[in-house]
Amino acid sequence: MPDELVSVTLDGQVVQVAKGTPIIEALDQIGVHVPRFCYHPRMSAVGVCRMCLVEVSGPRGFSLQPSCYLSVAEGMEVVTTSEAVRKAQGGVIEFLLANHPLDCPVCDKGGECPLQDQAFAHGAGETRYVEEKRHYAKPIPISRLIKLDRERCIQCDRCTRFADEVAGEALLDFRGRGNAIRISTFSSVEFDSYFSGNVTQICPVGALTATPYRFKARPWDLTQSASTCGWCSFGCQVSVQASQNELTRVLGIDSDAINHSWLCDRGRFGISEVNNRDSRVLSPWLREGGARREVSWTRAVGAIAEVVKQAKARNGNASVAVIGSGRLNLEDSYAWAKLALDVIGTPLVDGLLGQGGIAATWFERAASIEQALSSRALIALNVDPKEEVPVLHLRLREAVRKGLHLIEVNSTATSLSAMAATSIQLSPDKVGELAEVVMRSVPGGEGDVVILVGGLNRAMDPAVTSGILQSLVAAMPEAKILSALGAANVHGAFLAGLSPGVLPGAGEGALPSSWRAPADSSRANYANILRAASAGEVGVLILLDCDLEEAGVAPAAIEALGERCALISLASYESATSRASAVTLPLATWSEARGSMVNGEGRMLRLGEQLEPAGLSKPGWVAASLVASDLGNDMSIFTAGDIWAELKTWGGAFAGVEPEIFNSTLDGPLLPVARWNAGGPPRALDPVATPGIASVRRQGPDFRAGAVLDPHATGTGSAPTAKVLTAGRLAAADARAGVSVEIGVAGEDEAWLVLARRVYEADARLAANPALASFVRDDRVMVSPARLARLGADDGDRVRVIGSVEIEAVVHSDASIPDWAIAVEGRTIAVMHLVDGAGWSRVRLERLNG
Amino acid sequence: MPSGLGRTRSGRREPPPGRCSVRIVGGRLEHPDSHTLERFLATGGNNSFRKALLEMTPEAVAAEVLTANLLGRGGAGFEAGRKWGMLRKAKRRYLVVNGDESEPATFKDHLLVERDPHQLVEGASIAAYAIGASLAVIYLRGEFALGLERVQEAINDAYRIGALGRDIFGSGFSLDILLQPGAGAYICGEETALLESLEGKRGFPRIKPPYFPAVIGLYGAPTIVNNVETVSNLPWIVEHGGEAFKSLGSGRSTGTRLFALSGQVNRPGVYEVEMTKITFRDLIFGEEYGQGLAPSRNLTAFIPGGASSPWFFPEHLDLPLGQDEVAKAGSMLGSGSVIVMDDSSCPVRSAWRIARFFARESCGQCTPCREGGTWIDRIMERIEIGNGREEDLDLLLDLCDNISPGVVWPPAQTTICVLGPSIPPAISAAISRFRDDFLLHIKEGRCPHA
Repeated sequence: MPDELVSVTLDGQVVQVAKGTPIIEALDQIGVHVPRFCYHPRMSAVGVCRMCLVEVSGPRGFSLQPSCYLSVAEGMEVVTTSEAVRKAQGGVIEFLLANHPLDCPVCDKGGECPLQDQAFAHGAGETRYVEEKRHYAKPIPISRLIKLDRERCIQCDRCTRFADEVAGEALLDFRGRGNAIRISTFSSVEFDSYFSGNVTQICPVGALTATPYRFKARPWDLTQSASTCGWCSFGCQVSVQASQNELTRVLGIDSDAINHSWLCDRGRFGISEVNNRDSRVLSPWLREGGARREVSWTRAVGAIAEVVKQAKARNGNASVAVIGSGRLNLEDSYAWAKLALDVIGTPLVDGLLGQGGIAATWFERAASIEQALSSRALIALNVDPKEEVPVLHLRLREAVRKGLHLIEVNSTATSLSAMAATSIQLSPDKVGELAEVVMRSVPGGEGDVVILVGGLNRAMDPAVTSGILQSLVAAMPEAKILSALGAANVHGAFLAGLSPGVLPGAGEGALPSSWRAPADSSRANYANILRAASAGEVGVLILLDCDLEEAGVAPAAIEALGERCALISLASYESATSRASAVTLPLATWSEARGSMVNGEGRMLRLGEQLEPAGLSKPGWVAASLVASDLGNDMSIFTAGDIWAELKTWGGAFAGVEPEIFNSTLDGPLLPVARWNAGGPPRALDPVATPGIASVRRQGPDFRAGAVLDPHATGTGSAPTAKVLTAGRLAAADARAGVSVEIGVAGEDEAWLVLARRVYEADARLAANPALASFVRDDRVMVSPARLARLGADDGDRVRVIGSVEIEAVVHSDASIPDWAIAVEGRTIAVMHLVDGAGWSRVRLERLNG
Repeated sequence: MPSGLGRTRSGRREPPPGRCSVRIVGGRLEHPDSHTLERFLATGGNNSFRKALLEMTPEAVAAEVLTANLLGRGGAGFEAGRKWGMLRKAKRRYLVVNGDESEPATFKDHLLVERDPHQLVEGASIAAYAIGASLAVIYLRGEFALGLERVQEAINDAYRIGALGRDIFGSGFSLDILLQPGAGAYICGEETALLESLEGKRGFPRIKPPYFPAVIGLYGAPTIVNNVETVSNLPWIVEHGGEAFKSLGSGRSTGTRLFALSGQVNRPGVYEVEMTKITFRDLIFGEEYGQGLAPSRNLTAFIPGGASSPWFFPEHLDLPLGQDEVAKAGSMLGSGSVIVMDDSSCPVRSAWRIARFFARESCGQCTPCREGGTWIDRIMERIEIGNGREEDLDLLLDLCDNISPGVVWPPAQTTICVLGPSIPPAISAAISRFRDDFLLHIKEGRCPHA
């Protein structure tokens, strides 16, 4: 429905504006900037700072009104240039500065401060305030990440509104009144929120600063580039900022389609591990005679080629297998898919940790985030957005407030439960009938149904989720899917062909003569591959940015695996896996290489290069190309542009991806481009709403083909030629056919394990980040009161959880846990080893004496 | 004739109610036991509520109030009947009685809640019936310890005798009244801050629009907020009719009003007077009222309607106590508190006290009031203690202008509510009338009155 327009006179200019537009936004539209502090385009107007006063006509003539709070109305006249307006605005600026410390030279906000900037633009040069200023103890740590300087605060209500309205965690509020009013947490309760860092970004002064960034840099010394956050698959648009080749901070860019400028703390503060040289793989490593030593790239690549050749010669192509975590960027994923499938020719490739079935169902019916949030009903399946794709939680809260009908299908209570119209329990005995139960709860009416699917319960094989998803889709053929699968580029890895049963592009793609077969969907599942590797059926196991420990393999088992086959790691961070590997190649992180990724709505997003790669790290595609060269087939990939030239010939998702597209959008195009509506012009930068972002100019994927950029490349390959594509439906149907998964049967004293993903999990990256590592919680077990009673234990007792491994933890009674389940919370990595990788893991409890 | 010399629990003398040919709200106050149920019932208590419930429709009650032209007694002086008429249609409606009376030198509601709490409950019940509310809240200033006790007793009494609760007097009308003490913030007397406070939130005035709680009030429901004295008038109006009320006073100023007279006057107290029938001179100097100033003292200024109203001077003494008459002369009757200053008082100190009060009571929500109020307070303090500068006077006036552009009456504002703009009238009046006093402070480096 088109917006109803009203006619208003703004500074003498008659314009048509959508009814309900705040005056300040109408003025922005015609290029008249009214100074403002409390106004924020992503939060409700409160009109408290009074900076944006303008003269507005009313029944009793013109009066000064806050332009952020009042909306345009037919016939309204607005004047921003009168003496009265100038006087009022100047007065407010002077009042705001009266008690402000003016310590700009030592303030982190100095140089990008809305108060500083607008004081220069609208204030007097000198103060008339000669009284003593307000004094407070400072800075006050209101959390492990945020420090509060009350003297600088101008009481604009942005942080408090964010906490209450956007995050739904009203942990910040005003205290005191009048001149003594101040921001405060509640007595000794930490401002403990996954989203706390946003308050430092929206603070229009230096009152709230991020502890990891304090005194690290001056804004004008930072270099910055627009990029995409790499912590999950939501695809938050970020400005990555660095100083002296170290990442200093990440700010959220206001993307209409995705994150509305918000970030979660993991994305915002998850940067120091990149700088942490002790945790990084800085050079290729080679294990020789039991000892690990640094070697050159040439040596390491040669060693990889050698073991691959030997394995193939001994046991055929299928003796080489590839597992990826979905974190490689799109270019890297494609290069490795081509290396594995085309050059090595193995069918055992799973770059999605078993989530290929879900991804295959997803892409054909991918919904945009916007579509999902404005749908008739959103069915959330095995997903807790707050823990998996945190910023979606913020978008979802807003959508539910506006009337989104949410149906939750999870095993235990989640952050969705309070918002959901219906919560349906995902229990092991009801999987078969689940689709029917869900269907009954979908309200009738206009609009589509969208299924939001994730991987919340780690103890449940993704194939189980995939099966439910397919029965839902079978019951609702029109339903669309928004994916919240966790790893950042799991969707891009799928589209790049690094997954069982799919060809690059995942569309009506065709098979080039040289691309032998898509990965074998029945055997190429990471769990099956790992089983085969443990059984000695795999000679070489290549791990693409994948720490097996995170995938549930205990360190001892990884070491054992390293003895049974040659482990080859492409890794940015040291981990149990990299240490057990025969060869480790140092991988450039996302901020160290240009490229692209695809998020859970199928949107292609760009990754900017902000740092020199650490040590001898290289982009993943370079590594693939080098290995391929040593195997005698350079794949014709010498630049990232070569990859793009080739991806486009695959068609499908990549049809029509041209460099020009990226110039017209801030968000990136939905794939395939044909379903994408670029909409209006990209949102303009707003230095008052999102201070610190100087530019959203981004590098993105490198489309320049042909130039030899890498000194190691031999240059013997021919330029990619247009491939003769033969028609052939992608093999996703095959993937779908093979998903019936046995959940298994719980033994008498066993229960089903619920091991929900959490924002802060003890993986190698988080462990290397001192700012975030402390947020990883202690292990604990939660069971129903009845189960606790049967166990003969009390709340707080220590128990042993026995599954594929054993862990000890404190047990708690929780009435929201169903009796058939044992929920394990807590993120030491050992907890993840309870997952046995097939069906739905089962565990039993033992009470520990004493 | 002083009367009502009862003592409060704290031992403080209660203000005398004064005399008036007609007693509307103060009718019972001559009796020392005016606060008891026995006295209330013996003097026609609940007759009006019973009459309204059993003989009148809610519309008929509202029509009498409209006829009476009862002006709100809280400060703004808006017609109560018109306010009721703006009530949005809704299933749930609330009545809130504003008894947060906290303005310096305003103490007329104080008297009513302590001395005639049953009349307050009856008036609130009539108002609730007229507007179709089944829940009314009486919000009383938290410092009214005795008042809170007595109003609660009166509510309990009303439940006991069937004047509150279900099916009152067999009329089918049900009503509950809750008593809510404030927590010590002046701003919670501002009706929208009061509603926020009732909802359990910080006492921040709501930004407008919506302009009236009658549209969106307590918990989003249409709500009428009436002052204690306003609803206390209702039993009389129901009993005698709106015409009888309107025949008192003149013009828009009908009925009687309570005036709280204080300051440097011989007999401060609360006086019920028929509106427009006497002048400020009568009130301050009249034998029945204030009985003038101390010997050999001259009146230099008086504040006609509470600390936030523009000051009046000797030339205004002959203005009648009528709403429009005072407004036309550039001030307001406001909350009915008249503060008298004689030539022994320091106008700088007086204006500073007022500025300091409002600065300290600012809610802190919006910038001009939060920052400007304290800034003015600091400058006034400096001048009073002898550290003033001549340029401070222009600075003060300019800061006033930045809070209340033009420093005109009725005030314009850069603020959300009218608390901030309550500071400039005193400052500008003091500077314009007593500039020499200011300059003397600055020149001598001390207060010449000290």
